Amino acid sequence: MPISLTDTEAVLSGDIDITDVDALHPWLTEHRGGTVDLTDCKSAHTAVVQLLIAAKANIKNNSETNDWRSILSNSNSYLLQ
Amino acid sequence: MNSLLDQFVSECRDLIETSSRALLALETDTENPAQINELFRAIHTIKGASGLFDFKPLTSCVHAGEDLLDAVRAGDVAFNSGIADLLLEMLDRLVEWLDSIEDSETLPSDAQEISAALSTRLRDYISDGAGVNDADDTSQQTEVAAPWPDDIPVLEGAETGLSLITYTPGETTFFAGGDPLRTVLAAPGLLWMQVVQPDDWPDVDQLDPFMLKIGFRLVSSATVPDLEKHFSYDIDDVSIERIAATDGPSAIEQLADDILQSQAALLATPQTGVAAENIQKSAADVVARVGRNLNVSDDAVGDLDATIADVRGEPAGNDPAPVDKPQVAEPEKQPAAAPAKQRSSGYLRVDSDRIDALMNLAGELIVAKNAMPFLARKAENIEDGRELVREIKMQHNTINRIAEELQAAIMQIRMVPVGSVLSRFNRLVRDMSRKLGKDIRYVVDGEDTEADKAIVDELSDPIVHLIRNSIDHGIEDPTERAEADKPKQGTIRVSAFNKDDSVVIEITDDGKGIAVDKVVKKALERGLIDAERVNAMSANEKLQLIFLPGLSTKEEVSDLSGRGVGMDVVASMVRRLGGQISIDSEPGLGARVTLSLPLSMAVQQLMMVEVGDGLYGVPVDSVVESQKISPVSIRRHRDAEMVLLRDRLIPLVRMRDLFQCDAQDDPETLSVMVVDVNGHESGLVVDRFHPGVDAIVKPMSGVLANYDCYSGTALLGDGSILLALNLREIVECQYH
Repeated sequence: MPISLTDTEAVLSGDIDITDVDALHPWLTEHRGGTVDLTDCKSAHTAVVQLLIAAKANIKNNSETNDWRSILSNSNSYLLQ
Repeated sequence: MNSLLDQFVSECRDLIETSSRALLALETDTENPAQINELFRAIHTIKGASGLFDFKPLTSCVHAGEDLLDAVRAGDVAFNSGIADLLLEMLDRLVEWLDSIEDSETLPSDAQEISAALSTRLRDYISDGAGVNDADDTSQQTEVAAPWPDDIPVLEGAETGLSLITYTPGETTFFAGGDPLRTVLAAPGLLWMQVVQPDDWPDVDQLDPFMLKIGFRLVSSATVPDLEKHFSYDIDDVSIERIAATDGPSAIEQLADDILQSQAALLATPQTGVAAENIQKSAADVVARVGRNLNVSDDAVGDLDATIADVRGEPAGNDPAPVDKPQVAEPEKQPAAAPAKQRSSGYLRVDSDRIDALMNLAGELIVAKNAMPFLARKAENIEDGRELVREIKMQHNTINRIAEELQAAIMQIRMVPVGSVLSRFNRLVRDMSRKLGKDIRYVVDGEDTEADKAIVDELSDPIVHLIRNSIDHGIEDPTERAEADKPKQGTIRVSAFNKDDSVVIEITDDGKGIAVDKVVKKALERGLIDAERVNAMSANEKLQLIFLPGLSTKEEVSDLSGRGVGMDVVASMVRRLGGQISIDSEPGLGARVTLSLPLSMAVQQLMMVEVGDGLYGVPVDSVVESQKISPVSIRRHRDAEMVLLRDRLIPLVRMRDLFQCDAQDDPETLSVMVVDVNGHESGLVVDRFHPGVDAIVKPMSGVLANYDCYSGTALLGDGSILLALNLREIVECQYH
């Protein structure tokens, strides 16, 4: 299951597809500013990323890899070098 | 058909027209980037739109075409006539498939098979890479790079220049299966990227997560062609700019400098009154808020200071001495500044059926208006009805004015350029001349000339036939032309222009012309005319015999221009539209067919005449006079009857005979309406004259379309039908 939702946290793992928006959207509506853990998330569809930005989700990323998840930081940018 | 599909078909047809035009233009100018881009955009849009429907063979075929064009655009494949042929073949298939979609909302059963074969052939050109343009793309090297934006970290390679891509996909991207972030992350040479958010996000519970709101900026070290290739499916949503970090002023400093320069230029323009005060205020604001806080060029600030001082009438400097106010005009009362207008194309795409419905309503209004004089006449018979008559006439005048203005406005909406039809024949000329081994140039003049849509729509068939005739029978093959000291390339020129209340279309070719003696010989052989009449004809009149039914001068029947159904059918089509056709030719030099058509087929003024039990309309423009004559004044020569009116001998047409009505019982006088047809006067013998009427004349359709003696029908105020007479046919019918 790529998305695991609890009362305190949403955990996204592996590849997150556009269809996962259906589950994530109501959770973010109910848990304003809730924490979304992307540590094990390999990729996410644009619609998912857009939803996380719009909902101002509190992003958790314990991975030390510099990758696309940087765009969910405050600068919304990702520097590859 | 559902409205979305209807719109898809309609837009695709327009895009196919655009693509055909661009393709044919590319054949003569193979490296024209504007045409290649226009063609690519059109094909790309067709592909994108088709993705909304389940027409996979169509989408995949167009996709292959798009990929080929993308390769051409990137310089990987050189455009040539083989590619043009293949793409035209693809467009032909699209037209067939769109016809099928329009008829049954499905593609033909063989579409998958055809699509696969065509796609393979299209992609073969890409894999072959035949004729690759080896020349380096120097445009990128010579392009001046923009200053490095302040909000982007200076990246490796910034000094020599990198590409900044702004990618703003449409809101409905997800519905077409798009995932822009994936596209961005896969971009070649990606060094940096950023999500661009909208100004305001709706509350998360109001957000539609399937509508795309974000965009992207990215910096890449890849070349512009590589980036264009990567974003080829979204090329309309992408802008690519070369940027470089230099020692010059930063972007924001450059911007501030530009603002100050433009303010200085604005101030240098003499202004008075409120405008001058506003400029002073604005300029002072700029200096205060921008200029002093930035390291802008001293020249710009200096210019600004000096100009402000000039406008104020004070010496430049930081501590200006008080001086008299500059003499400015008393502030005039200015209207409040209009809010900024929203950008709009100014055009509406409206279904022509809706305009037709509006036109029909205007027609009904005119018919209803025509009933009012009848009412007024009835009211005259009422005791003390004079006041009522006066009021009816007054209302009639008002409604008449409104109806005329309404009709004129609708007519204006219906006017379309004839070029929309004429430009289509480029392809016909190209394909037919190739098949016949001829070299022919097709030229259109006056394509912006306008006529009613109904006329323009009907133009296609007659003109196709005339052009085919010119290609097949008129223009010689290159060897013949060389022998005749003519350029190897023949020319077919179609010119459109307005003359009086008509639109004139001339189809001219520089071929061998028409052999008048052959035309006469055929007409005699086939008993279409007798020798005595031929002897009395001028050369030009003999040439017009080509429009007689059943006359064809080509010995061998051609599969291109048809089985000699030719000119009489063309003439018939033109006359049915209320137009006239004529031809002139110079042996060895070419021929010219002239079509003269009314600008509109809508409201006509008709004189009404009664024959037997029927009422018929005669176009007022053709009426010369109406006379009552005594039967004894009629002169006879063989079967023909004529009457002498003011020293003119007018041939008579007995309308009762023509319509096979019983003859009148020895009338004391005969009613003759003298009409002018192509400069020749004829007298129509009718039973009675009636008043004139404004009427919407509609062309005959169905089985009635074969009755050439009528040009159309019109509805009268009392609900009865009026048949409008086609005078030319009637006079010719009598004549022959």
